[in-house]
Amino acid sequence: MKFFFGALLLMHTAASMAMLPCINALSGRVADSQTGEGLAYATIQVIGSGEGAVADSSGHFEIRGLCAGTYQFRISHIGCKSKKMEVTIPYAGKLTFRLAHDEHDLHEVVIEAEEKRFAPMIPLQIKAATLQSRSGLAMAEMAELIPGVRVLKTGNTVAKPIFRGLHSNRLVVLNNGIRQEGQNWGTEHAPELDSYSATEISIMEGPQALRYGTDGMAGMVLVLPRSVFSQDSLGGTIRSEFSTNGWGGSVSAEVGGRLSEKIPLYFSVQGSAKKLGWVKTPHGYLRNTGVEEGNYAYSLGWKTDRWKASVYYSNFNQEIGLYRHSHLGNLTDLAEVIGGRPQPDTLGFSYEIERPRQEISHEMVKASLDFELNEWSEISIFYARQYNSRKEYDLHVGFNPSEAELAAPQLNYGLTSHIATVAWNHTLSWAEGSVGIQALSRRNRAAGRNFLPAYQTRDFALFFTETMALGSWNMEYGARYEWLETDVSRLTNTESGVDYQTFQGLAIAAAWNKRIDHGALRFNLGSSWRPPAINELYARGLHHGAGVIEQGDPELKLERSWLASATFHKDYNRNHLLASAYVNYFEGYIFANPRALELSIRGAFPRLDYTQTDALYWGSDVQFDSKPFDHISTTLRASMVWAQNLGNGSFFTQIPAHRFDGSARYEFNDFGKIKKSFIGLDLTYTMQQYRSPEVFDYTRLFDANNSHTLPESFDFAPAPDAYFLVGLSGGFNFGRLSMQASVQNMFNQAYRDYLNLFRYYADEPGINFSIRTTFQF
Amino acid sequence: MKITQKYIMPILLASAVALTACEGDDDSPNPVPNNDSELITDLVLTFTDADAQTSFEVRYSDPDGPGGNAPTQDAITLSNLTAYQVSVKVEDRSNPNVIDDVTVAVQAEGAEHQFFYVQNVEGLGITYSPGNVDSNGNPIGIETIWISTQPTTSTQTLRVVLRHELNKSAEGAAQGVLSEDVGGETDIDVTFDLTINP
Repeated sequence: MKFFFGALLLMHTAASMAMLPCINALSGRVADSQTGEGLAYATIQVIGSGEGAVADSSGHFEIRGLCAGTYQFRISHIGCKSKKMEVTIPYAGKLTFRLAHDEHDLHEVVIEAEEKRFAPMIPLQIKAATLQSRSGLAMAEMAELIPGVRVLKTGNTVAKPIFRGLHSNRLVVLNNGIRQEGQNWGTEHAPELDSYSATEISIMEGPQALRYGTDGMAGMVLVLPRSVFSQDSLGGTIRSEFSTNGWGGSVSAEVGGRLSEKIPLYFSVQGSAKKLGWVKTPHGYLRNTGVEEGNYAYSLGWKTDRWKASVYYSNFNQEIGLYRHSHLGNLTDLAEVIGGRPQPDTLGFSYEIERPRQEISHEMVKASLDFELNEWSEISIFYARQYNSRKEYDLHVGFNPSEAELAAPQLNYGLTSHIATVAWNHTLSWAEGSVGIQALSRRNRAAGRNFLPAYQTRDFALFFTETMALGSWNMEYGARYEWLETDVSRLTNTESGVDYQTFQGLAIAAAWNKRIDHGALRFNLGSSWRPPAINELYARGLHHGAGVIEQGDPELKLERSWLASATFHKDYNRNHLLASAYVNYFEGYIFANPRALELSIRGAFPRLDYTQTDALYWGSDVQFDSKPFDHISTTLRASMVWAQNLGNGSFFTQIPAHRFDGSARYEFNDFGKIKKSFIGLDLTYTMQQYRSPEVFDYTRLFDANNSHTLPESFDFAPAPDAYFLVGLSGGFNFGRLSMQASVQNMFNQAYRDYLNLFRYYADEPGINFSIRTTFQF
Repeated sequence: MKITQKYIMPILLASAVALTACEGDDDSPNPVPNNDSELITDLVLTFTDADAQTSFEVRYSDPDGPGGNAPTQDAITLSNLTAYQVSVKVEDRSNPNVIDDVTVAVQAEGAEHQFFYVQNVEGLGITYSPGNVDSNGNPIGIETIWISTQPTTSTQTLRVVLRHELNKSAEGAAQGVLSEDVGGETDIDVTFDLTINP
């Protein structure tokens, strides 16, 4: 079975993993030392990090996403003396921890090899221990450690994940197993969730994603908070982060465990707060780029032999400033800024959040119930309600605004959604899978500036997924049928009425996983679809952030993608390679197509009409880890994506430029109580996006003989130059305390990034020192 | 069990409160009509020939705002060797029943606003009326005087620009020169065809 564990266990040392997804798994069983019976719901916990697992009713457990290294585990069970064990990961075999009811009777670890058939062979995830090196950053910036993930930004305060070139309407974010329902059509709208609540962020590709939706066109981003059942003893974590650029930081605390030995009631409470002021580029402070955040979440769970019930509540509140000079009246103003017009402010630092700004809150309640029907199957039910509120305050509020006008947001959306799922899950010796139904309703209120209408949708879906073990192969497949109806209230000053539309379709996927010596190979094929989003159907008017007039088209049809991907990973002695390649063909790809220059009273603007074409995305992500010498580990990564409009051969905007990064790390020997100390160097090279749309010559706007034609795709400014960034980091553990210090952009380089929507106006942040601490108790 | 009760009860109560006290009970069935407080849909230039005691209007109109239906606009046709008193009016006519004259507000915030009149071919003498100034004595440009001295021969245009939060002390701004140093943010930028009959 050794070859199999080679497939699961990839990496070398914990140190080298800080820049990598930690993807080792440890599975085993906790048994009564006298009778040999499995101890149901025993807990297995990594001492010092809080990672761990709870055994199932037969005492089996699995801990995924472990970094390589030596861990101390605490194994506990009600009525037994808890026990500490040291295990070195990767561990070639299966563990049985034996616990004694008699506390004087301590026992040995017995190794029993046992094959775990259905573990994902190539998981793409990052776990709590690695997330700590990025605590305080947005979820998307944490997820950037996963191969294939990039970040789309609006200034320094809004960050959205991109996976394989896709984002917003094409990338689903699952928070605690629930689709995040917000105004995610907007490229300047980030996922509304507390990044501190995540203990794991991963990418789900292929059939498994069909349990959650048909619209993960390349995959889904999963954000998992800590399970309420993750530990039996009381424990918690306090984390903090401080940055010099912005002179602020964030702090988070979480505590949880089992309330009493007598009853199986578990709880977990978590909260975080964040405040950062104006950010500094190498040239000066950017006015109004601060952020404030206050979030909390809690969970209660009840667990018996057959039942597992839990309630989760989270509340997210954020107020963010958008760079003051990103809000321009018309293209003349934009042209002058791109042409280098100096911005008027030479202000110093401030924490003030003024106009333009966004106020966002998101609330989620989730109730779930798992009921074991028999040895091999269970019913899983959950319901969630989300409320998303987004208020955007423009820079100016008309002329002589009244107090009431000043207080009212210019864009105000409130989205209430309900999701309910009932699924039947089975686990047999040769197959495991799930069959279920899902219902989803959304109600979106819109007020303020006339850009999007209010609407309601109702969705119904049926799905199944199955994984079958076939020797050294396993095969996953699944399908999902979804039907939805929408009612859109077209209520503007000049027209009113309700549009009723329905969409339906089938999404299918299949994946083949093959174990090879010290590695695995995966092929994935699938077809997903999504209905046109509300902005694509009904957007109407000037998009202030983008400087274009957007026009939706209610006649749009659904968009379908055909994805083929292959992933390969293998250990070569002290090296590890993870490589993937993909091709994604879109039928009816919906995009904003330049149509004409349109006159308005503010001057001419390019008008973009949402329309459909065929498109192709393709790319590759490669990661090579090496440990050439003891104490030294290195990582090299490449992320490349291409996209093309097959209709006219033009390029799309906001496609990530190729990026290459590397890191090296030196780990010191433990010195007394100081453990796991290291220093590291990070290098990032991002190319210029050479496949960017034509630069639109805005001087044509002022030409009286202008024929008002637009290029097939365009941008207002050329793609920014390539840039090279250097960072340093270092850290150590001292007992329960872990500290890390780092410096980003250490040469204080002025650069702009193609994936930042504010690249027309401002440079990226300059040098930043940050300190992160984690304390476990 | 006492400890259990001591801890469990408050938490169960707290969760019950939280579950019922969700913020988003936004179930108002009818959305309110949208209202863009900054919308300007119409710009009207009123030309008065003091000698001939005549006046006429030139209008730019886009009642549904940017996007949607295309705007309509008149052309400016003037007589040669004539002095016109010109006043500009900006309106919100997005709701035909409530016409909002935004000029009043521009006048009230005169220190932060200024109209500019830019010709593609210099041929018309346009000066700010000395009476229409802000609290600092700088022109606002709602009232202007236009003097035609030569007929137009080629296609000529006249651009009306309203800027706010501009630098009124930029060189030439007081004389109506719209240079890059003026800066600020554009509220209005409309180009009319201009004809001066011989």
